[in-house]
Amino acid sequence: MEHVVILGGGIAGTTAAEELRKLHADVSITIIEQENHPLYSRVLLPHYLKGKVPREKVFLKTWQWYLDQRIEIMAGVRAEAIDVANRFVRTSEGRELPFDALIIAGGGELNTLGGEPRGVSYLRGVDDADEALMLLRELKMRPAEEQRAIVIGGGFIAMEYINFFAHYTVPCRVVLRGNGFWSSALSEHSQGVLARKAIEGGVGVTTNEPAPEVVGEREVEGVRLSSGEVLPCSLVGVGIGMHPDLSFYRECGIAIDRGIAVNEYFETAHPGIYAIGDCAEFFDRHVGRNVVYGNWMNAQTQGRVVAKTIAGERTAFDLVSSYTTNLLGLHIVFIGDVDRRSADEIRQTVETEVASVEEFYRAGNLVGAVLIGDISQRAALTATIKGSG
Amino acid sequence: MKLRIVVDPDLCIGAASCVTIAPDTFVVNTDNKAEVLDHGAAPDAPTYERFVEVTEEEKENIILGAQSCPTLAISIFDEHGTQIYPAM
Repeated sequence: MEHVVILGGGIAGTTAAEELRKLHADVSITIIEQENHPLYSRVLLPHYLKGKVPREKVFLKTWQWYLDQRIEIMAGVRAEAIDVANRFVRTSEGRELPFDALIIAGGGELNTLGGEPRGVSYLRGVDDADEALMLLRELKMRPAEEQRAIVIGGGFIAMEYINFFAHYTVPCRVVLRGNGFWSSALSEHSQGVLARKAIEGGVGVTTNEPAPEVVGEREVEGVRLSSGEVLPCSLVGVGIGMHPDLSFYRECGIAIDRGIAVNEYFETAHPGIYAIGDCAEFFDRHVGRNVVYGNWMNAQTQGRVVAKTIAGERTAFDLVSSYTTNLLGLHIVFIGDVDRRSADEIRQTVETEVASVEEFYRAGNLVGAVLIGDISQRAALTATIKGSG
Repeated sequence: MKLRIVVDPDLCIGAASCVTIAPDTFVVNTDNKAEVLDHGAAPDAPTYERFVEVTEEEKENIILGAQSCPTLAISIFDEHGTQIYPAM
């Protein structure tokens, strides 16, 4: 083992590099990262947006750290091709990097509305957060009646936008594609608890709008609904999910399904090529099926595990994945596999005005849970999912 | 050796990665914030800050737990008050 190349310098790829260096003093490690920043915490971006942490605290590594660790980072560089047979990566700078092991930790691409005027905000990285803050300052300079924001989407990023606008007392309305928040994942009761919380917090909720359209030539003027009505606003926060850039990997001849297909050791079908993080579809033994998860703990733990395997200690992944957020202070926790279509049975175990707990079962085993407003069962449910895997 | 382990509840988002890695030291409470335990127990009362006597191996794992926090909500100090994590 001489050369390890890592595509992606996010938490998955950087953790893999850091762990590999600990286990292997001599191997050469190169990270290819599209963004021109050292590692930062995407999870800290909401805190940064709300002024709870200064911008510099968002960064988890300095450029000096990479030097100290003898990890080469090519920042602002893309991988243009992976030659699986001849084992090298060609970069956007035209360099060809040979590898003995390749870790694909490329994350995902944001789903976008397309063709947006100024004032449409996405929240993928620190540059987006900087832009959102700039747009917020501009909005705050406008006459009071124009200080309106719209959030498109009803998932984790939408929560961050709603909390962000609420923090700065910007009147906001959320436009949802389905019946409610996480409409394909949650029960009607769960969606009702969230919708009530939003409305109580002064957030307007518009449902069943599959294709809201941003209106405005150069600058955002509003969002057009299916009825033709235009809701006026000067800032739109969009959180409509992400997807791995699978066509690139497919063109390189790497087997993919919903993500890059790997086993529980993150090995692809090609010897020496691994995939981790948001772009990997792996076998999760705790839930008994192939899954793609896009969250921090998952990505970080996978980085650690794949480094061990590459260093010679083949290690299977063993984590019950979870993700937590809040809507205006109402706690929301997703644990394990909460895909409704893949569950045999879903039990609504807490059903009050302000709380909802759903348990997801497959073949008699608990594989996932959603906790809203009442998270007291979190540890117990996590333990049960871990135990039944 | 003794460590002082401090959780900033204002930064903590309840991701629980610390609990996954160091369950004897961290637990998430009903406010979705991590509290500090002393070897699985909370003598006196639940708290966001505690001195804990640890072995070298336990120390390494607690630091790993702190490093796993995506919001850097956990700080660790040695018995002299020097911050071990995050590096200053």
